[in-house]
Amino acid sequence: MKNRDSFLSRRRFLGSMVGGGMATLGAGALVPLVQYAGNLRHEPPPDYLELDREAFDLAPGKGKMLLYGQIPMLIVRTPEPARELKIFVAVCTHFDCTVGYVEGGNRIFCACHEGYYGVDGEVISGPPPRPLRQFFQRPKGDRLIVALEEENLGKAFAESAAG
Amino acid sequence: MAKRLPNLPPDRSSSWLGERLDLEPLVRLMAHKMVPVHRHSWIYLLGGAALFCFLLQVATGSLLMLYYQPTEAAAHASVTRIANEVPYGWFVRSMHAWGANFFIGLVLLHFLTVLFTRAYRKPREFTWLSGMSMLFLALGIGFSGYLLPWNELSYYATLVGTQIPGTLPVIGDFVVHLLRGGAQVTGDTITRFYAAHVVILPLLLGGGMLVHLALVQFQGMSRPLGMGVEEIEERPFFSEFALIDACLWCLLLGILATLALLLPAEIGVEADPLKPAPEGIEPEWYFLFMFKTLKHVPETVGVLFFSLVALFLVFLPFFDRGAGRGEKNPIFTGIFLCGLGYAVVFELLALLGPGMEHPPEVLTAPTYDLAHGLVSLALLWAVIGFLVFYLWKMMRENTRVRKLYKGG
Repeated sequence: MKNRDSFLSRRRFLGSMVGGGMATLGAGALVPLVQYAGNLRHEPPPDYLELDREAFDLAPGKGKMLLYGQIPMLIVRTPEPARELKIFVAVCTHFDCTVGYVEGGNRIFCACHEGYYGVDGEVISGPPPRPLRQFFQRPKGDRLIVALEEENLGKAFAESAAG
Repeated sequence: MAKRLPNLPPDRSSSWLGERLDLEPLVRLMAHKMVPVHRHSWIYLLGGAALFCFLLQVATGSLLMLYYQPTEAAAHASVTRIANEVPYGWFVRSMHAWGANFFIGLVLLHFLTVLFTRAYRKPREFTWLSGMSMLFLALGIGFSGYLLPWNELSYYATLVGTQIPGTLPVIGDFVVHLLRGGAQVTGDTITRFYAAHVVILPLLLGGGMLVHLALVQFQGMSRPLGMGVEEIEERPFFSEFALIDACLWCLLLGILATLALLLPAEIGVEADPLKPAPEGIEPEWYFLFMFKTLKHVPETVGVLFFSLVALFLVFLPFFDRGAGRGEKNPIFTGIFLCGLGYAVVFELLALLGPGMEHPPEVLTAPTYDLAHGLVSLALLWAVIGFLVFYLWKMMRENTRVRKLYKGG
């Protein structure tokens, strides 16, 4: 009886060793595989962007698209009398479609699920759950510094002072 | 009293093979497959028809790969070149586009008939699981192929589609990143969708098909619930039902070729990440009802709902245990009907709503000539008619011989 028991436990031991080894091998392979397929490089958007005058010199009630790294950026000059320059991340907060400025209606529109935003980025109607994200901006001479994070605006001035 | 089958001399090619390979077990296995004959027998044609479309997709897809270039700069231009310059490129591409719609349509029809006849019930749980995996893979292949022409429609459909898993807790961002190959939909997304579309997903689907077909072969065809008890006539798959399959495959080929000629696939306007989404934008018809739902409900609710429905469907045989005992539970019929009704209503709402306006496209390919095409089409249908007629005759003859000699 003892022999048979030891026979069984030896087999179980060998089986679990082989199984455990395989599982370790699989888990070990999974880490680089996930990183590779997920393309998990750290690729942050640029700290800031310096725009020439012609890039943001819009007539009131007009909008324009530019790229901030790979992020579409919507620049809007609101109509008279406000004439404010607003810069948005042109990505709908619902499902990431690119939004556009409706020149006649002074609104921002996402065609994918018919979401409307006001020119302050707030949701007017439709399914978007959050307001549009806005860029921070600060003039630098006749150019304009645009950044996703407010603290990066200062960087632009610091760098140009140093350079 | 059945007569004895006369001993026919084996034909030369099979004896040549038979001397080298022992095909006996294979032949016996194939001969073992029977198809029940009843008024819903047509449902047994759907899986085979989907298989035919898949094979056609592999063939036309391989041809498209000769010219297609999966990069942001070249994708749209290479598709335009296939459609307008490569001889018969427009035809191969249109066959591929129409074939994709038919493939998904047949797969969905197959899924619905299996659902309503409770063919998923014990002991066919594994067949159901492999089928559901293939359904998701087929939708994945459709979705990944949709981006490849890199036009406006495909770009925004991919933006929305790849953002959907972003609502998942914890892993959401990772999955979005994995699908897109980065934070945005870019040329990197085209490359990985291409890899998924032409190798990864079709390979998995092919593997799933082998498992699915092997299970059907070993377990036999399911009968609609309630029909299993009494004796129903059965006919052998080889070579009676397979001939009906062949007739349908011929007809499908003809229909696809006709559609490819009369309604060639559009190329669309090249995607531009700097342009806002055009008004009335919509995904392919098989995602339309989900797309419309997301317009009316909060995103997390919508995504959670679809995930739960998918999970419910995958594990359905383990919920509807009564079906395995031959009981048809009206609650499940009700659930299926409600689900189907919801999908149909939302689909119709979306289809009846205003679609996207776009200028009509004109194919400029020198090989695209409607008059010539119609003559070729007439010839094709004549050959198909001939083939279907004789395949049907052959099937009838095989039935006659079987009944004469085997008393079936």
